[in-house]
Parts: sequence; C-alpha cells; structure tokens
Amino acid sequence: MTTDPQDRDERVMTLADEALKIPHSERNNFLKISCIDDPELYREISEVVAWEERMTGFLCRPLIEFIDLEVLDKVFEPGQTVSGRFDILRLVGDGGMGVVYEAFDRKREQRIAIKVAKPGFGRLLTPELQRALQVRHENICMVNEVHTAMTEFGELDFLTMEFLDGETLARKLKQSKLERAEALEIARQLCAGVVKAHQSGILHGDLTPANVILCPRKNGSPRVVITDFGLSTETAGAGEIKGGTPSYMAPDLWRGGKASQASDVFSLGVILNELITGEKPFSATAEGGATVDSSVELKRAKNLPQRWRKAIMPCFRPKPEERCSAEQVLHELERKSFFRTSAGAVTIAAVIALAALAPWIVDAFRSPPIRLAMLPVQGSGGLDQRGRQILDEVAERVRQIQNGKATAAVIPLSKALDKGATTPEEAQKILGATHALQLKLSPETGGLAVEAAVIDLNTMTHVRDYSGHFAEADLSDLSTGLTGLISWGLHLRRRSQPESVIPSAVTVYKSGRDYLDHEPPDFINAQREFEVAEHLDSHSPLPLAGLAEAQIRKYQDAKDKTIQKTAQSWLAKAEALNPDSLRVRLTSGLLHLIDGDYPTALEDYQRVEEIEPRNVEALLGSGFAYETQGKFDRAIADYRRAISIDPKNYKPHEYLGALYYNRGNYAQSEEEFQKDIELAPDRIDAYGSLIGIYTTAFKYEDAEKVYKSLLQRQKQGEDTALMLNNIGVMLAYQGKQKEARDYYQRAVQKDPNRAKYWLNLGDAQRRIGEAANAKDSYQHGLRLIQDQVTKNVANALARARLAYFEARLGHKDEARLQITAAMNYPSKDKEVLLCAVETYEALGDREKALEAAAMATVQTQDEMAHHPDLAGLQQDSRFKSLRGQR
Amino acid sequence: MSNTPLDITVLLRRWHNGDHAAGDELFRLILPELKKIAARFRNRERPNYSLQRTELVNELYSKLLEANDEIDWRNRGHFFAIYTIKLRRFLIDRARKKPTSELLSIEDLPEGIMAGRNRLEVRLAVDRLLDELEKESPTTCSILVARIYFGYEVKEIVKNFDLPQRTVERHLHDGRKWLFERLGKEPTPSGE
Repeated sequence: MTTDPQDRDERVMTLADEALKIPHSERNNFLKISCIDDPELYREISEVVAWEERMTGFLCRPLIEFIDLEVLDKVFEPGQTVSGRFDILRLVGDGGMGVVYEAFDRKREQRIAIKVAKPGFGRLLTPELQRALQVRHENICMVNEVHTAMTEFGELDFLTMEFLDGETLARKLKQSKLERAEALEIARQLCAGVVKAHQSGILHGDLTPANVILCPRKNGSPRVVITDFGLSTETAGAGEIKGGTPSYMAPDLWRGGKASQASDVFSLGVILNELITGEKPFSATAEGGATVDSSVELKRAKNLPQRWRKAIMPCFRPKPEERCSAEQVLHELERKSFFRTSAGAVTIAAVIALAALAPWIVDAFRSPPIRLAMLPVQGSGGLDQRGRQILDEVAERVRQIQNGKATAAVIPLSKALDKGATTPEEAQKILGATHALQLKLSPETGGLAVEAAVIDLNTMTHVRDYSGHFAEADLSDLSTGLTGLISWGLHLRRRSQPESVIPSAVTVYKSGRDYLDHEPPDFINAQREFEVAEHLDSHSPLPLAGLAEAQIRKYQDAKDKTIQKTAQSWLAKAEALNPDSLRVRLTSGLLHLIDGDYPTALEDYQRVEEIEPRNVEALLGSGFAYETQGKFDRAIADYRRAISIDPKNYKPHEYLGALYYNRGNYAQSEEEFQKDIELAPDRIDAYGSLIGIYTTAFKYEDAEKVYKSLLQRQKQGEDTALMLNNIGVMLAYQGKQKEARDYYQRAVQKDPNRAKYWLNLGDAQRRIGEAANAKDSYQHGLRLIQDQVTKNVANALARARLAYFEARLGHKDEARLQITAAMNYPSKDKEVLLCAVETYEALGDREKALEAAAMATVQTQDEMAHHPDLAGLQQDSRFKSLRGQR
Repeated sequence: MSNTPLDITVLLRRWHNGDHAAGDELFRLILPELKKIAARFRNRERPNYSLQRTELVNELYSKLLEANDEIDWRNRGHFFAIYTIKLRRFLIDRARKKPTSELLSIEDLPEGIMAGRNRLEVRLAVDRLLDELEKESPTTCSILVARIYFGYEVKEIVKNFDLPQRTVERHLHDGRKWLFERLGKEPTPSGE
C-alpha cells in the first residue's frame, strides 16, 4: 500500500485516466485487476471515475475563454520577413508587454531592432509615441517609424528603432561599483537624454537602469542610451497606476498619480544615487513604492559626496511640484567643480545652451540650426571629379533655395577635404557638422548606380536615403534630386515657387491636370497627356507625379493593386528628380492615404504646409489623415482653415460635412453639404449626402426638395427615371400618394424596363383606390421580373419582388413559394428583407413578417416603421418590442 | 528570460530576510506572469470593461508586500498558491462591483448545476464556495482557480506550484467535485 500522498495521487489519477478511456462495461474488471491487492485504492479510483462520469466535463475548461499562451508570445518568427522589408533575425528581449527582435532592414540596409506589443497589449501608436518619434538625440534610442503588419492576431503595430549593441546599466551596476569619472559621464548623458525628452513633451514613465543601455563607442567611452521612451505611458489613462519598478517609482506615481516629468525626475535621482554610491536610496515598502521621509533623506545625504548632493537630493522631494527639473539636475552636474578634469565640459555647455533655446526652436522648426557637411564621394576613381561637381552644385542649390533666413549652413566638400574630414564621425568632430550628405557612385550598364544618404550626425542615423539608377545623360538631374532630398529630409525652409515644366510641355501638362480636376475626372486622357508631357520634359518630376496621381485615383475607385504598384513606381521616379517638390509630396500623401498609412501621409502633407501654409490641397489631406486617426479637432481645424483660405472651394465643406455625418452630427453636416451644393451646384455627390441625412432623420419632405432641385440640374439621361422614382418614394412616405403616382408614372415613361418603378406605381395606384390600374402595373412589373428570374436565378431580390407581385395579384400560393425561395438565399440585403416583410404582410402572415423584420438592421427597421403599407405591423406590439430591444 | 523554481525560492527567502533588491527582482520575474493573465482577460473583455491590467498588477504586488511580513515563504509553490488567492480575491471583488461584466462562459455547465440560476448567480455562487474551499483546502483552491480563472494549463500549474502532474490533477478533480456537490445542494439564491 502506498503511503506517500503524491505516489498515491500518481496511482489513483493514472488508473482513473486509463479507466475512463476504456468502454464502460470493461472498467470494473480493469480496476479490480489493477487494484487486486489494495481494496482501498479500488474504492478511491472508482469514486474518482464515478464522479468524472457524473460531472461530464464540469469546469474542465477555464471559465474564461483564453488565448493560447504559446501563440501569444511568438509574434514574429526568426527567418520571417515582415512587411516585405524587415528580415527577423532573432528574439533579443521578451518583456511583459512587448517583444524585441533584431532584424535587418532591406530598404535601409542596416541592422535594426523591432519592438512589437504582444497581442492584447493594445496598439502602440499613441500621441505620446508620435512625439517620441520626432525626438532625435544621442542619448535617446532612436525610433524610426511605426509600421503596421497584418498578422493572425489582426493588425499589429511595431516600432523600428536603432539596434543598440551594449549592456544595460542594471547589469553594469550589478557587476561592480563605478569609477567616479565613469559614473559622472553616465549621469551626464542620462540627464541630457531626459532633458531633451522633457523639452519635447515626452515622458518616460518607467526609468530604471534596465532601460538604459551603454553602447561602447570606438574610442572606448560609453554612449548612454535611454530606451522605451513614450512606451510605458502607452496605457496610462488618467488616474491609472503604472506598472513601473517599485524601487525607482516615485511615491506619487505609486499612489495612483499620473506619470509626470517630476516622477521621471524622481527615478532619475534614484539611478544617479545608485551610480555614485552603488546603492538605492530607498527601499520598497508595504505602503508601496519608495518611502520618502526626512530622516531617510538626511541619512542618505550623508553618504553622498557634497557636490552630488545638490544635484540629487532635490529629485527626492516628496511633493512632485517641489522637485527640481531634469535640466536643473544636469545644470548642477555640470558645475565647474564637477568638470575640472572632464573633457566633456564643452559639449555640455552646448547642451545647456541648446536647452535654453529649445522651446522656441521646437515651436519654430523642431530642429537646431543645421550645419550640413558634404562628404567625399565614395566609389570608383573615374567618377571622383564628376561626383565633386555634383556635390558643389548641390551645395550651391541648397544655399539658393533658402530664402534669406537660412536654417542650414553648408560646409562644402573643399573645406571638408582641407580639414581632412572624410567620414561622418570626422565631419561631426572636426567640422562641427550636425548633418552630412554621403554619396556613392558606381558605374553600371548605361549609367550610374547612385546611393545617397542624409545622415544625422548626432545619432549617426539616416534621415533620408536614396538609391537608384541614373543614365549618363541625366546625371545633371542628380543634383536637383539630392538638393530635394536634403531640403525634404532636413525640413529646410525654402522659397515657395510655382512648379512648372519647360515651356514646350506646359500646355499638355496643364491639360493633363485639367483632366484630373474635371468632374468626373478622366484618368485615361490625363494619363495620355502626362505621358506626352513627360516625353517633352523628362527632367521635371511633375508629369511623373501626374501619372502617379492618375494611377492612384484610378486605384481608389477600382481597388486594383497592380495599378497601385504602377503608381508607386511613377512616384519613385518623380522623387528621384525632386522629392521636395510640393506636387510630389502631395501625390505621395495621396498614395499613403489610400494605402492606409496615415502617419506617413500626414508627414507628406505637413511638409507641403511648411512651405506653403495656405495650400488647400495639403490642408484637406492632413485634415483627412487626422480624421482617420480619430483626431477630429485637428481635422476640423484643418478643414476650417482651408475654408478661410479658399471660401469658394466646395471641397472643404464636403470633407467637413462627411466628418460631421460620420460623427452623427447631422445638423452641422447638413449645413456643410448645403454650402457644398451652393458652391458646386453641378456636382451630384453633395445632393446624395444631403438626401442621406434627411432620410436618416425621416425628413422626407426635405429630401424630396433636394431630389427636385437635383432633377432640375440633371441633364436628360438614364438617371432621370431614377430621380423621378425617388421623388415618388419620398412623396409616398409623406402620404402624398397621388403626387407620388404622378412621379412614378413619369418614371415608367422614361424607363419602362424597371420592375421596381412598376411596383411603386402599382402601390401608389392601389393606395388611392385605382385597383384596375394597379393590377395592370403589377402585371407589367411581374412580366419584367419573370424575365429577370429566368435569366438570373441566383438573385434573392428578384425572387422577393416576384413574390410581392404575385401576392398583390392574388396568387397567394405562388407568392408563398417564391418568398420562401427568396428567404432561403444565404445573404439577404435590406431591399430583400423590406420586400419580404411587405409580401408577408400582403399575404396576411404577420409571424413571417416579424421574422423577416427581425433580420433587418436598425435602419431598415426604421424604414419599415415609416412605410406606408406596413401600418398593421407598425401597430403590432411585437414589432415595437423588436425595435425597443435594439 | 525563463526563471527556474530555484530563482524564485532563493529570491523569496532573501526578500523575506529584508533584501529589497530581491523584492524588485521578484517583481520583475512575476510581472510577465501577471501581465499574461491580464492580457488573456483582455481578449474576452468588452471595450468598456475596466479591468486595467496595470492596476491589477500593482494591486497584487502591494498585497504581496503586505504579506511579506506575515508569511514565511517556503517555496515557489507556496508563493504561487498565495498569489492566486490574492489575485482571485481581487478579481472577484472587481466582478462584484460590476455585476454586468461577463467573466464566465458557462455554456458547458450541466443542467443540474444551473438549477434555474442565471449566469451571474452561478458565478457568485462559485465565488462564494471558493471562499469556503480556500479555508478548507487552500492548495486545492489555488490550483482550481489557476485553472478556471487564469486559464493555466496543467503543465503550467505543475511548473508554478512545483507539484507532480498527477497531484495537480487530483487537486483539480477534488476541487471540481467539491464545487459540483455544493452547487447542486445550494438553494437557488435570489437575494444575492
């Protein structure tokens, strides 16, 4: 007999498991044989088995549906290529909320890190993060972009950022106490990073040594990089507690306060304290977070060297509003006493000067004055002279395009060569440059392969890249292309000049644009004109942008991926010629909008607005990009600005009207669409929108008026019959059956081949007591619909209409047959259900009518509630409760 | 990134003996576990259901801090047992405050168990009984909670509670049986 309870469990549960697998009749024998020498065991197992039988799976599964954990953790797999661009190399980190991968970016050809939020941890893109994307600083991990990939979990945001090769400060601190000089250098860089972030309006929220990476530089000194800025606050709504690390967490944060600059400063203080003393100043306690009381403060202060005390202690003040700023900490650290022996003093002074200036700069342009260095051309010797020429041209052009108030100074190649600066690092050190242009040329069949990069020397990352092929004859275009790359990448303020093609191509290019602006646009002719224009002026990006735009807008309507691809290739060619052309950026914005990449689209439009703040097309684009991201206030502001700039333009009203409509604000939507119609009475879109608003609100009389004014504008054509019919419908819903009948009659005269018009006419005639006429109309419609059904059997609506006609003509059996057939179709739209309800009501089958009504959407049920033939149903309490339920 | 039972046991001891760094380290080790649980909840959660995972995580950690002074953590299994109890209490308190939130899917409960109760009533009955079970046999209760509330697989429970698989299965069986018996007997509550 087994005595150990765990052994006992093993025997009982194993045998019970076995027993449950075999047929019922054999169980008892099996157990008796298995427990032959242990009657107690037999009894126990039998009980387990009996209970399992009785409980039939009770609580065998969790009470909550869970996602599978294994799947949850593996977002990407090494070897996988994400978004056709990033090769996942390996998993480097797995945190609670997110996973970090090392990856190779095919486009930029560099090693990067990818951070993905685990499914369930929400999407990454927050206003906080968007601000973080714009911060460029040596001590802040550079986040390149937010991308979205479709995965089996749905859409997943991931961040690409610079790959940091180093160890965490946490690890370093564990190994040994730091040398003073080293500690100071780390402290200083850490502070500088926090200062920059706070100036840019972003918070960290979970600053700990585990979030600080020390990357060795070539000269052996560390580069201190803070990671995860703007990520930890991702979920922190108002009043929500953060999942920070207790020992580094400010007491105010722990108690449920929001992350703030002051809470970051507290964490910063804890890290600095640990850097210099090797110890944390506080311990986590039961009250939660670090405890701060004056006795502790005094004790800790004694352990701190005098000069550090002044920098660190103000970080620990219990009240967040009394704490110092990160800037003040940095300032204290950089007092002379600290830096008597430090070589870093000069750079620090520069950081402080910058810190003082930064608020304006950020407001005005987000970047400090730029010093751009031209680096020697890389590539085969024969191209050296040619490359030098190009760079000189670029330098000259960059100077020219800036209007008086230059934001960028150019350091020409000759000067770089004089001083012996040939690499980005040397350009920064020797020339004091902030940015550099690197150009690589290599011969290729029929021309040159060109690779260019605008490099931010602070972070040593590429702001913009270009790679492509130039024919020998077109090499002169390279300098304009590179100039554009620079002014776009560095957000240079430049003169806004009207963009044009050479004189011989002007007429045909303009004609192409006219085709695009025409209502409705004529993409085929536009494309032809742009092709000719491109042939006449192959050095201008405009015809290429026009070709791309024509393709994109065609894609917008046709939803054809290949057309989009073609558009992208036209746009790439245009960008090679001048990426900073406003027309090119507008086109790029449009492409990104249609592609659903709203942040990039917004960037494109904002670049245009930088150059031309009054560009209505850009304002509409940025407004729309904001709108799709749920930033309605900004969207409305952009649309309103567009209206104030160009009050005669209908488009901003149309955008604004649609925004209000989608937000359920029908009154304002109505106002905008009315202005839209006033300004562009010949376009039909706004009429349709206005009618949509009115019918949603059951304002059939207003809708009728809009139809009538539309009818007056409409040239005679096939739409006329439809318009007449619709006016009839609006009248019928108002109860004006005679007037309705007159309009239906006009409709069938215009187009006698629509069963729907005959149906409506018959209904109106029936309602006013013209029974014989009604019968004729129904019979007319019946014949049309019978034709249709024999031609196209798989049509639920035709079946339903057929049933309706039969019902109205008194052929009840046939009607039942047909309506049953119609309802057997798997997908039944609004029209089918409405027609079915009418048929069942005509047949006197309330039960079935209710059944069909229950399948309809709220809107369709609303329509049923106003339908002139459904009075009986409308009074039925079951129908009322059906609507009440929703 | 994986943690062995030893890690946690050692950390627990060090923490209990006043080593606060061990406390932080422990928190780091447990955090992913807690967040996983929170993440799994989110999947079923309605948009307006306000079970905030960070709140949950912090709440639990404070509870553990409180408990640190009272309890001599023996081992990893002991630690996880306490932790599931704390976490369940927290979840149940939240659910009681928000009776409309849907934590349970009870489609597969036998008819007899439903006994005319609605979903909420079954859930509350289960919760109340679990309080009782916790007093009677805390380990069984923790293991059952880990399974039915936090969705742990048996192998995960084996790892976290440091128990043989069949013992875990036995606890699950006993716990389910215990609940089943009592749910059948319990009068259908109406005033709850």
